[in-house]
Parts: sequence; C-alpha cells; structure tokens
Amino acid sequence: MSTLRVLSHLGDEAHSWDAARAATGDPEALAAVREAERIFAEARERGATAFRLAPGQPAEQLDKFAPDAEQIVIVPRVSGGSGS
Amino acid sequence: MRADLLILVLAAVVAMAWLVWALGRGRWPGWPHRLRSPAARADALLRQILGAEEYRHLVRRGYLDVPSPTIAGRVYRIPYCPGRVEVIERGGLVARLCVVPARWVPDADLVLTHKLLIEGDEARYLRVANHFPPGGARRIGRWYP
Repeated sequence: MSTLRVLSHLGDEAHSWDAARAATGDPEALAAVREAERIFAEARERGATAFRLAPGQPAEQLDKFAPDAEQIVIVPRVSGGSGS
Repeated sequence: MRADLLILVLAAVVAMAWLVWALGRGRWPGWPHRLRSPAARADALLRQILGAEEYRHLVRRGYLDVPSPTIAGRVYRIPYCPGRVEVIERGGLVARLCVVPARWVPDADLVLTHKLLIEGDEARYLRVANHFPPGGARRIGRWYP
C-alpha cells in the first residue's frame, strides 16, 4: 500500500492506495489513486512541498504526483521567522 | 448468579469493543490513528519515519542532527521544541536559522518539516530561512552559503 500524508494543525491526514491493484486497472484502486493525486495537487497549489520517502534513503522532493511511491509526505508552506 | 451475569456482560462488552475495532480497521485502515491527538499522531509519524532508535535519541537529546546533503562537515541541528535550527560545522556553531510554517503544526511535524526540506531542497531551505549569528538575536540575512 502507498500512503500520502499531509501535515496540518490536525496532525497528518493520510490517504492510501494500492499501486499494484491500480496497475491492473482495478476501478476502486484507480479511484483511490485519482483522489490521492487531487489531494497532492490541492496541497501544492497552497504552496506546500511534497517529498517521496523510502526506507534508508534521503527525502526526494516531488514536483509531480508519483503513484508508485511508497510514502509521500506533504509539508506546509514555510517562510523565514524570528524563532526567538 | 449475579457474578455469572456480570462476567457475561463484561465478556459481551469486550467482544463488542473488539468487533467494532476490528471492523473499523478493515473499513478504514489506520482509523485508531485518527482518534489520537494531533501531537500524538505527529509523534507516531515521526517515529515511523526516523525509526525507533533515532526517535529515541531525539527525545533523549532534544534535537535531531541532519547532515547537509551538499556541504561536507555541516550538520543542521533541529530542536525537538520550536526554535532556531543550528548550523554546525566541524563541531562548532556557525549560525542559527529560523523557518516557520504558514500554519501551526505539532512539534514533531515541525521537526519532520525541517528534516525533509533540508534533505530534499537544502538550497531553497537556506534561501527561505532567516539567518542569525551564533550568539545573538541580530539577523544576518536570508542567505547562508
């Protein structure tokens, strides 16, 4: 199962899909992939940044949705602060 | 007789609770996760991504060290509580960085945000951050090499 997580003030919101089933054309799995893609695009429009995570590897920034990713984490838009 | 009835009722309640939990897990994977507080969920996610040992170190030491992907010998020290990220080179503190999210997120999610931004696009992280000298509060600019 693949998971998309969007960090927010509520903690993360997770959305999962089965990439293997989607590859076989399963309608339910394809719908889950489309929903994940929609969430991804919406978050990116708000200025959020997406990263693909894989065990033992550094995070890789994603500009486009990757349905084959094991885990995608979307972090909120950031700016410079005072941090006092 | 009453004790028997009580045990029967307790067993029924436990069975019902288990059934609801099991059905919920099947229908909505990860739903017990959604019942946790935002901070607890953020902590669980950070623990999952860092791994148990690195997460334990973070809790014990109060910071997470992320090596620079592009500059040898540089480490970013991310505090577990909100605060400035320290830039450490060859063991010495050389600057402090401040990057804040547009909306509040739990502390553990903030640690994760810093880590992912540094690993995924260090140059942009440094452009966005406000830079402060090691000892004082005076800002020294937005860009740090």
